Amino acid sequence: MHDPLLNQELKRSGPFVSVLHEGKNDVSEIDSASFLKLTFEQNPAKGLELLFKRFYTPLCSHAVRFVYSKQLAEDLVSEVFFQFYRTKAYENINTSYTSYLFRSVRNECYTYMRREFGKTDTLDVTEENTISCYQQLPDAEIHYNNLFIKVNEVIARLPTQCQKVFLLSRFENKKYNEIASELHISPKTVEVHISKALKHLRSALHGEWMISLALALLTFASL
Amino acid sequence: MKTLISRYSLFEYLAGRANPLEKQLIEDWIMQKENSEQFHQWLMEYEISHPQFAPEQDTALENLLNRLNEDLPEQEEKESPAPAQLKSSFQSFGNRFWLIAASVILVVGCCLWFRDDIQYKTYQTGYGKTTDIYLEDGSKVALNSNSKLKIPRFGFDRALRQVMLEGEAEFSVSHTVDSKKFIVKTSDKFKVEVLGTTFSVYARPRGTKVSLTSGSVRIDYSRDEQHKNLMMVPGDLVTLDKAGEVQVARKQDTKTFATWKEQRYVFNATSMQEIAALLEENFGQKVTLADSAIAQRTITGNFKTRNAEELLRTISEVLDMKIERNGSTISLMNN
Repeated sequence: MHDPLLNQELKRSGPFVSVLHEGKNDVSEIDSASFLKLTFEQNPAKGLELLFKRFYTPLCSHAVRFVYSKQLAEDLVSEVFFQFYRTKAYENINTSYTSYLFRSVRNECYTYMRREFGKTDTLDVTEENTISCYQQLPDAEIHYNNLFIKVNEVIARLPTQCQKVFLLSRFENKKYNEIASELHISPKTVEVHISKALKHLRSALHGEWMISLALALLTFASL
Repeated sequence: MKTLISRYSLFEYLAGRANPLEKQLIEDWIMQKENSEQFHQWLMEYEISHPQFAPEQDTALENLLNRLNEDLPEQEEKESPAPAQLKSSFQSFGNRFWLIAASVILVVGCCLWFRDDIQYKTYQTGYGKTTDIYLEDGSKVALNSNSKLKIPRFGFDRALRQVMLEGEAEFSVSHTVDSKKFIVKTSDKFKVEVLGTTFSVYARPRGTKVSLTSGSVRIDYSRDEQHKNLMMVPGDLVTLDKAGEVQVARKQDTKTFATWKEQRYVFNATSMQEIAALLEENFGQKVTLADSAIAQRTITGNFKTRNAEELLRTISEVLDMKIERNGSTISLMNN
């Protein structure tokens, strides 16, 4: 248990500190943000390009911690940019671009993971896709953090060969028989390793999906 | 004291190295709305300093722009006149309602459209192919070529065992302990009811025939809006012609009716006209006869064949006729 006094102090110092931080390191951030904003107003396509060049790599790097696939990470991040531009979300964002994009990507990854590894019915997946980043439970971010930390842990704990096969298949997007010939094992064994890894993931992530239910309820309530 | 949360401790947390106390502190800090900007900012810095891989940024950008270019014209078209109207009239209900309504309609529509596929399991044979189907009650159905048998997926085993037939099949129905009826429907107006027996049903555009090998069956049919039925005994052949007339022929050699199971055809003074029709039904082979004299000629015998041409060749040799192939049709004429 942690000290309640400590907690209180933290709460009090929280806003102050964040203001101070913003003041300190965000001179350039604010500069470039207003520059981006201006570009979006004058030439949205150019704005998108600038935004993409600046955020694509770090966002992919973040997404891959969830989905463990280069291809998927890139697809998910591209999708966020696509929607961002298509729905003209840049016209009315009330947070920083960093915040908006990271939140969207994390949302997208979460949705993907839940669809892939959660056993919930597919019907409310569409439900969740429509949830905008603005109506988010405060602890969603923490769930997202726990999710990717857990994914990393599970994969780190896999037996070496199993881990190797899983990474080759998922991260490098290689075919089963390619992996088999690369590691000199039979394709059947590759299959066994993959399904073992997926089973581990599924059971470890079992408890992570409750929040989406709460999210769905929240959207219904806000209707 | 400034704060307990530093960029460093957040990084440790993101790397999964924070101990439970630190974790709690950081999570409390993230929970506060005013910290979320800072959190995302640090998250970005974390990803820049700990990249997981180097994506192909330029190709990705190119793909994205291409995708947007393809998408935009369509969207403009769709969005130009309609949405303003739609929005004003539907706004009070909320878009979500219409989304749900639309999906419900879609699902119901699909169910109606695929009603048959959902309700029935369908077995279908192509030209020149026969197949044996074993039903879950132990009955066996031999399905002749170019025929279709539909079996309900649900409730086949309940009160009635009912199947639908288009084409030709021989049924060997097993008797159940509780004497459940087995019904073969060929149309709304004609059905065959049995308890346990062997019989064959022929239901094609030319007419409907039922022949009974063993046991007993009841035929239910309606004629002039009246329901009628008749009992068959082994050896009977019931024919329903196109006009809806039902005739019973007694003491037939019913074994010859389902010889197609062995790719065998038994003809007993069968006219060429009938044989031509049979070839078209079973093999999809169109056969034209040069004149009515040929159509009247009959043939008797037992022919084993796998395809139409083989059978025709044999017949033409026996009857001393000439075969002429003309595209997809075969003509028979006198030598």
